[in-house]
Amino acid sequence: MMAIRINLALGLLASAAVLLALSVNGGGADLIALLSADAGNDLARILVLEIRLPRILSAFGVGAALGLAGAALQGLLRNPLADPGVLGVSGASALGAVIAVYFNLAALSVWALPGLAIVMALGVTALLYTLGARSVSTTRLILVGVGLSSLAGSVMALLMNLAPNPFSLSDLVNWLLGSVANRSWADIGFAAPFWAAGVTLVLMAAPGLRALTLGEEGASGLGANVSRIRLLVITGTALLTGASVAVAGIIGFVGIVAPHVMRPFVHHDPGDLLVPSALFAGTVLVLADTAVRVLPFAMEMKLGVAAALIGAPAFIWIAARARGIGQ
Amino acid sequence: MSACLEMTGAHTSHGARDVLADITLSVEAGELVCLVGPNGAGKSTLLKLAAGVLPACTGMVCLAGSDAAGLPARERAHHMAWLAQERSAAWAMRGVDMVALGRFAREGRPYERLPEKARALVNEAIARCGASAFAHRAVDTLSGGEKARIHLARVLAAGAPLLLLDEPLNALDPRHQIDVMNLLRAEAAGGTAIVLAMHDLAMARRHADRVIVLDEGRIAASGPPDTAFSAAILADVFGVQSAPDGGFAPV
Repeated sequence: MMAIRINLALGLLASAAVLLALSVNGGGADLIALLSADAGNDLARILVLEIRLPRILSAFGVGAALGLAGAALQGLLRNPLADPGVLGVSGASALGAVIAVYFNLAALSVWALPGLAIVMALGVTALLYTLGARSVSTTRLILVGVGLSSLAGSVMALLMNLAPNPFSLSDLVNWLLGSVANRSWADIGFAAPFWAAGVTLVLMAAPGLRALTLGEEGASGLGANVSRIRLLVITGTALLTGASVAVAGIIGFVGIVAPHVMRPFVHHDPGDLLVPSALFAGTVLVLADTAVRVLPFAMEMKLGVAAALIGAPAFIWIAARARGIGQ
Repeated sequence: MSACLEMTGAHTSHGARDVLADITLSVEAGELVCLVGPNGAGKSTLLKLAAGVLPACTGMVCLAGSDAAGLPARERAHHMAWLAQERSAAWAMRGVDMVALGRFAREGRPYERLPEKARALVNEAIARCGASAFAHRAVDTLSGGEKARIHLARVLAAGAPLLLLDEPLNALDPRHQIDVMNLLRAEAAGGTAIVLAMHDLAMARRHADRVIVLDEGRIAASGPPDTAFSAAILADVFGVQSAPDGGFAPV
């Protein structure tokens, strides 16, 4: 039962990372004060439960969702470089968020920004599905995704270009850099149902991803319903990605790197890869966010920047070594 | 009882070109049928139609009496197991997990988590294909012939009543080619229907119950090897004639 042992080990690792994240920057003392049930210690309670814990859990949730989405998309497209970022889902979702900020829709309702982020993610994946579903080639799907990603990027650049004042510009930039600072339980609460739905859909596709190792015709010959698998993975990853962008903005590369690191531990089985990738990516983002909090910069480095600084070289390394890209 | 595979007037085209035209055939349990024909004759397409991974434009394909096009994928896989000519795997899975994929329509789990009985079937299929020595290695470390045997084991592990094999002898050395043909003969003797696309006419003549000669998408001849490989068919379709040594020589 190797898959179960891996998941247990990663679960322990994730818990350890959360504990570490709660303890740095003098957090250990607050944690002890809270646990010793010192009635008069409201400050410790607020610091730990209302400020640090939501931030840490946001980091874990966003990482896990992106790791799961990346593993599922790689299985579906049989390509180790697929992830929500490459396919333009993250970009479109961030565009939704940026539109909400730019047109000040966020002032109208707290739901406007997360809502638009998720709707845009669903819209782009639906578009990918209709464009790609008719063709057998997954290479086409990836190329369309790359195009969509650039399109979303250029519209966001246009909005920043036309930003009416420096304040809205800095708002937009903050969003694009990606961060989980100052996230509250309300942010997690909005994302949680979408995350849960996405996790359910993607895990339902796990056996099918295994069959897809032999290609779409091969999987169909084995008895897999390929269009159902595609629908499950694409809808599931849209929900996972949209909700994550709504919480943290754009955080790139974890979706590519986590499945790549985990693959040897599950004998390269694309179905068994899903849960370990989620746990590992969540842990990595918790640790990265902890590092961001500890690093002695005058301004706090954004989590998305840290993730990209580590992830982009890893991406290049994987791309240079991977065999059969775009098969 | 209905035939394992029955095609009636099956027709399929790629653009303006007819790949298969008016294919009518029937394969019964226990029959070993060799499908031969020059490159591009439509052998692979015929097997894909039978496997249901490619729909027929017109005509009908029936698996054990039910219309293949109307069957859900999983149920279709209970009636047949298909070995594609294309055998690349996207991920470096282990041989045993690849063979376990043969059980997809029933279990859909990796090797270690298969129920006892299914795992025994997988092990047996691996042993019969002579793949036990390397089945626990990742498939990307295997040679072409070793991969071919792993994939053949996958098809056998399905335990399907009909095997559709697209050039299973490719990449195998002569000794293993003979082993595989003997293995398939034994399968057929146990009641499995087998349709086998291949290029080796001498092998087909020696082992087949029936030979179907495909030429430019049509059935040119069908029958016991001696009838199907008539001098006229050999010359017209393949450009060869029987040689005194039992082989074939150019016309």
